[in-house]
This record gives sequence, C-alpha cells and structure tokens, in this order.
Amino acid sequence: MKKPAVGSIGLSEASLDFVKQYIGNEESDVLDYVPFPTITSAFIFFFSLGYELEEIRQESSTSNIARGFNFEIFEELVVEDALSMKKSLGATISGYAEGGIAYIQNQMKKGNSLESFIKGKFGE
Amino acid sequence: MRLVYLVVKDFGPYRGSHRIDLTGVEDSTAFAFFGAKNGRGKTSLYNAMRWCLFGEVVERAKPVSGQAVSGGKRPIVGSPPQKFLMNAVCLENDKKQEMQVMLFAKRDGEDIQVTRTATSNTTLPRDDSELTILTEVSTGGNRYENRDAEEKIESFFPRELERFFFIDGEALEEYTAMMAQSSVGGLKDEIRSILRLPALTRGVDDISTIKRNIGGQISRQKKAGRAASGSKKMALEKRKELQKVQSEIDDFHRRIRTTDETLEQITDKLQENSELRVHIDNAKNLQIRIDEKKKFLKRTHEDLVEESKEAWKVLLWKKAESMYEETQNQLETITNSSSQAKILSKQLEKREIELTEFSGICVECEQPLPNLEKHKEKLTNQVKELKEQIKELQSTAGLNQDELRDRESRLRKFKPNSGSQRRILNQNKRWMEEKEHLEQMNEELSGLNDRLKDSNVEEAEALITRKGELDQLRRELVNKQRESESKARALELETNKLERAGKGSAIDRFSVNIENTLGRLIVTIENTIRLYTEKAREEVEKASTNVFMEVTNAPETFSGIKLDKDFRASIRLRKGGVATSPSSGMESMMTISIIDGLRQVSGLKAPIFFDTPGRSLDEEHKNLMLEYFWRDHGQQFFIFAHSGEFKLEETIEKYRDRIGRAWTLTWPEDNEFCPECKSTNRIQLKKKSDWRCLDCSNEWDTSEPHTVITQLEI
Repeated sequence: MKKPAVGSIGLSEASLDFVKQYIGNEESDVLDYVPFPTITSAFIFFFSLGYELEEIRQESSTSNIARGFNFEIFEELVVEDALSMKKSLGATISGYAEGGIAYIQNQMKKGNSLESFIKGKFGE
Repeated sequence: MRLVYLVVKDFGPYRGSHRIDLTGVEDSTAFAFFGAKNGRGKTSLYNAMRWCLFGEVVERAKPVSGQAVSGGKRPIVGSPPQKFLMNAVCLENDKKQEMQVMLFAKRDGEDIQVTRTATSNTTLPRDDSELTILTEVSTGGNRYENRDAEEKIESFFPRELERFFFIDGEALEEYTAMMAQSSVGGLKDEIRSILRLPALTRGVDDISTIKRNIGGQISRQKKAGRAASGSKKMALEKRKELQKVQSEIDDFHRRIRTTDETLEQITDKLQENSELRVHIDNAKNLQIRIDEKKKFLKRTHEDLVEESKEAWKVLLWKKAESMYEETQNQLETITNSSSQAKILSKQLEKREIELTEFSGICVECEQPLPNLEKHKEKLTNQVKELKEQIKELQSTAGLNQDELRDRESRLRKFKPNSGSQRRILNQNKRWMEEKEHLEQMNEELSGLNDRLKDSNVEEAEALITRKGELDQLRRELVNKQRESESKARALELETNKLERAGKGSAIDRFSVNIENTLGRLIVTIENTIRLYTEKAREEVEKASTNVFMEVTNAPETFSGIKLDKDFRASIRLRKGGVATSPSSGMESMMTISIIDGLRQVSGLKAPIFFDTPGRSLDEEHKNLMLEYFWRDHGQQFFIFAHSGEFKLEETIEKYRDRIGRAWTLTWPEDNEFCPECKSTNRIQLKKKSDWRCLDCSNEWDTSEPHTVITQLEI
C-alpha cells in the first residue's frame, strides 16, 4: 500500500493567534476560558474537532508548531485523506486543525463561544 | 488521818484478795508491825499503799551531783526480769487481769475509802497502755472518780510530802549523802516541799514568764521606735510615688473622657450617613465574597483543564469508533474463517479417503449400497464443493491479521475513558455557572460603587477608620488605667503600713509599769520564800535536834543537828563544832531525825510507814528509834521489818504494850500449818510440795511464792 509523506504540522499566523487566546498563563484572568495548557493540546483539540466535523482547510502560509510532537499517531485516521488529496500527513492534519478553528470562528461570529460550543457538542 | 483497813488483790506476791484489819491500831498509842523474811512481800505491801494513794511506785531516788534524782516508775504489767506490780500468776493465768488496792481510813471523824484498780483491756496486756486505771474516793457521802479522786487524795495526803511518811530504810544512806552535799537542791528542796513552796515557786515562774513577755513586748516597741523613723522616711517616698501614680490615673481618666467625646462625635456623623454606611459595608462584604468566588472559580477552572485533556479523544472517537469496530469485525471474521476452514478440511480429508477406498459398503451402516455410481458421484461433488468452500475461507483468513491487530491497537488509543464526555460537560457547565455568578457579583459591586461615587465615601471611610483607631486607643487607656489603679492600691496599703510603723514609736507606758510591778512582786515573793525557807530551816533544825537527842546513843557528846545556811546537815558536838567523821549508824540516826523533823514541821497528820527501819543500825540505835517512834505522837506508825532487823517474837514480847497489831508475811513453805484454818493437822500429797489440811480439806502447793498474811496474837 502506498504511503503519504510525513510532512510537518503548522497553523497560519491568524489561527495561531486565535488558538493562543485559549492557552492559560500567569497573566490569564480568572474569567478567561483557557482550557488548554499548551499550544499542542489546543492544536490536537482543534484537529479533532475539524476531523470529527470533516472540516478541512488548507492555508497557504503556516507556522510550524510543536516540532517534537509525534503527529503520526493520527496516521490511521488521515492516511486515506492524505493519499486522496495527495498531501503529506502533517499537511492533512494541519488542514483539519484549521478546519476546526474556522468552524469555531464561525460560531463566534454567530454569538457563540468555545465554552458554549463544548456545552452543546458534549451535551449531545 | 488513820488507816482502818487495807485490802490488796493480786498485787506483787499477794495472789487473790487479802484483807488486813488495822482496827487495833486506831488507838494513837498503838502501832502496827509487819515482820517477815526477805522477799516475803513487806516492801510490796508498803508499795501497795503508795500505789493506792499516789497511783505509782517510783523506784528509789539516787543522788546525782548532789541532787536526789527520782528513780523510774515501776510498771503495773511487764515480763521478767523486769519488775512489775501486778501478781505474775494473775497476769499469766487470769482471763481478766485485775489488780486492786483499797484503803479505808478515818479523818476528823469522817470515813474515807480510797480504791485504785488496774483492769486489763486485753487478754494478755504487755504494757500499762493496755490497762484501764480507775481511782475512786468515797468520803462524806460523796464519791469521786479519777481526776476528782486524785484531787481529793491530794487534799488529805499531798504527794510532795510522801517521802516524809513513807520512809525507806534502804534509801537512808542515799538520803544522808544527799543532805551532806550541795546547798543547791537536796535538803533545801525538801524544806521547800514541806512549806508547800513549790506551788508558790511555780507561781513566781508564771509571773516571770508574764514579765518576760511584757519585757519582750516593750523591747519590740523600742526596736519598732528605732525602725519607725526609717519607716516614716520610706512612707514619705511611697506617698510621693502614690501621688504620681494617682496623677497618671487622672490623666488616663481625662484622655478616656476626651476619646469618648470624639467617638461620640464620630458615631453621630456616621449615623447621619447611615445609608451610605450600609452601602460601604455592603460593598466591602461583596468584595470579600468576590475574592472568595474568584478563588473558587480558579479551582473550578483547574479541574476543567484537567478534564479537558480528553476532549479531543471524545471528538475523534465519534468517527474512530466505527473504524475500530470494523477492524474488530474483520479480525473476528478471520478467526471464524480459519476455524471453519480447519473443520471443512477434516471433512474433505474424510470424503477423499472414502472416495479412494470406495468398496460399495456404507461407512455409516456397513450395508451394501444400492447405487454405487450415483453414490460415488455424490462423493465427488462433495469433495469439489468442500474444496471451493475451503479456498474461499482461506482467502478471507489470508488477510494480514497482524496488521489488523496493530490497527486495532492504534485506534484504541483514541478511545476516551468511560464517562469523560459527561465529566467534561459537567465541569464546563459548572465553570460557566460560576463565571456567570462572579460576573453578576462584579456587576453588583460596580453598581454599588457607582452609587457611592457621588457620596463622600472617603470621609465616611476615614471616620470608620478613625473610630476603629479610637476604640483601640480607648481599650489601651482603660487597661493602663486599671494597671495604675492596682499599683495605687498596693502603694496605698504599703504607705499606710509604713505610716503606722512610723507612728508606732511611742513605748506603751502601761506595759512598762506592769513590768516594773511584776518585777517587784517577784522580788517580794522570792524574799518571802527565802525568809520562809530560812525560818523553816531553823524549825527543821530544832525539831531534828529534838528527835536526834532522843534517838542518839551519845547524848552527852552530841548536842543536836546543824543545818547550815547552805542546808548541809551535820551533827553538832557539845564541845562546839560538828562531828567531822560520824559513823554510818550515827548518820542514819541524823537522817531519820531530819526526816521526822521535816514531817513535824509539815504539820500533816498522817500515818508513817517505815520500810526496813533498822538497816545499818546497831541494837541500841534500833531500840532508841523504836522507843522514839512508838511514843505517842498522835500518828499511826507502820513498820515493815525483816527478821534480821527485829526478831519477831522478841519485839512483840518487848513492845507488847504498844503494839496494836502484828502480822507475819510468809510463803506456804515457811509454815507448817494450813494457810486457811491454821491447823497443823496436814498430810503431804503425791507431789512433795502439795499438802492437804485434814481439818478443812484445803489443798495447797508450798512451792508457790504466794504470800500469806498471818495476824499474830499479841
């Protein structure tokens, strides 16, 4: 069976900025919703969301993130997509993450928030 | 006082009760004579009378450094070799030990009965503390017991005169030695006794004690006077210190009052802005609650982060789950196909053997088959069919089973823990609610702050802060004031004490006067004692001289007794001076003379008891002594003599006209007659010491040391 290239994962500058607002740090206010301790954990969440919703977007310019992160664990899930789209595994996974982010951004435009989305999504 | 009867019971060698009738010696011209060998109970009888009257028997006195030192008190009960008063057989054998002596007497026509009884409290008393002593006196129709009885005895026979009436011949030499020695004590004390001066001396001692106490008091007053000036100075210093502390207290009072006034003003102002105050308080309280809520929300968020770690798995699993199940199904199909292929292979093997070894006999029932060709065709088709089925199953089982297992394993990693979705949802929900609540509170606080924005909050807060400070200051001032008040009270007490001490310098003149008066009184009494003693000395010397001149065997050589100013006794010579080395017999006569002189000067009318009177006297002196004492002096005279001093028969024969009664004290072995009826008609029993009276059948043991009192015919 033919295998796709591994590639690397990354997000666009805008998506990265968006993701960073959900990463907790010492300056976070108690009212801030920051459920992710690291960018990697946030990236995985948004990838999972995009994959589950089958939302995939490909950004032209990306910033690599989490070089040490072994994203090949998701190979099983995206390998066919990668082959069909003729893209590397990293590009496919990043595409799903971008898709998840875009979905939430759309929800926010409708007046929802990440926490309310989770409330609705996980309450199904 | 004259004795009438004497009863002794279980005293010394006197076993049982013995009654001595003294009625014959009631006449003043008669005397009583007790004669016996040594050890037969003369001294015991003498001691029985002493015990009855005075409650104790004191051993003979001994001269120590010129003073007569009393011997020890002889116990009532004890164990040999210790000497004790109770009859030994009574003590050992009787169930209830009891010793008793009774004296019946007449005094100024009145009957007196003195009874002293010692009764055991236990079955075998070991010391006198286990005895009950009862003293009884009956006189004038009245009965007295114990202390009252003792007082009654003292009234007619003073204890301190005992030795002038109970004369111990064996102690005469010691008495003589004592009289020849120091002026301190000795005869001087005896003279004081007959003058009954000890009581007066004790009175002087008491007054001296009072005087000493008053003197001590005056001395302390003088000392206090000296200390007073120091106290006064210290009192002034303390007073100044006290004034300073009181000034501090006043200052505290003033400051507390000022603080109270300020507090009152602040309270008034705060009351004017009471609504504002409520808002301020509410805002403060709300801020506190918000702070708490923030802490809680932070903790809730931490929990949320923890739970959210699995959120991506929950999302992924929605799709990965179907892939996982598909893989599992495939693996199951492979497993089933493999098993099925194995089963079919066995069937195929069996059919092929059946076909190869076909013999026309059914392998099942072993019967010949009806249509051999048809059956063979059927077998061939079955083999073909089985081969196709096995081929198909093997193609399914031929899939890469390991690859599928790896895939299953990889997919399983996306499977979230049980209940993760629910927990994430709940934690998210909870955080959102708390957040909403906090936002509401912030909004409320913001509203309150908006309301307070236009008010003079700063002033109100400053007032509240000031009030708190003043409350604290007031508490401190009150504490300091209390401390100062406590210090002032202590200083007040100390100052008052010192001021009193400062005033106490004056000596109590009344006490001084009393001390002086007592001093003069003591001198007067002591002078009187000295005067009386000197007078008594002269009288004793005179009386002793009279006695001595009657009892001496050399009246032409000696002129009497001399008692010098130091109360030393000696025998005067007619030619002048005193005998420098008189014989012991002469000294004994001197001593007897002085004792009788003392007795006469005492003025007490009581019987005289003389134990072993003739000891160390020659025949002439013994006769002269009897001649003197047995003269009518208006007193009864009891003599307890042993056979070495006075031969019983000779004495009775010689003084028959003057002897009222005479007794002999014997042990059973001394007599050849029955102790009961005095019959000589007796027989010896089996045991040599046992005898029986043929007249009265009385039996007795002559080995028993029990004294028998036998009255003699005069």
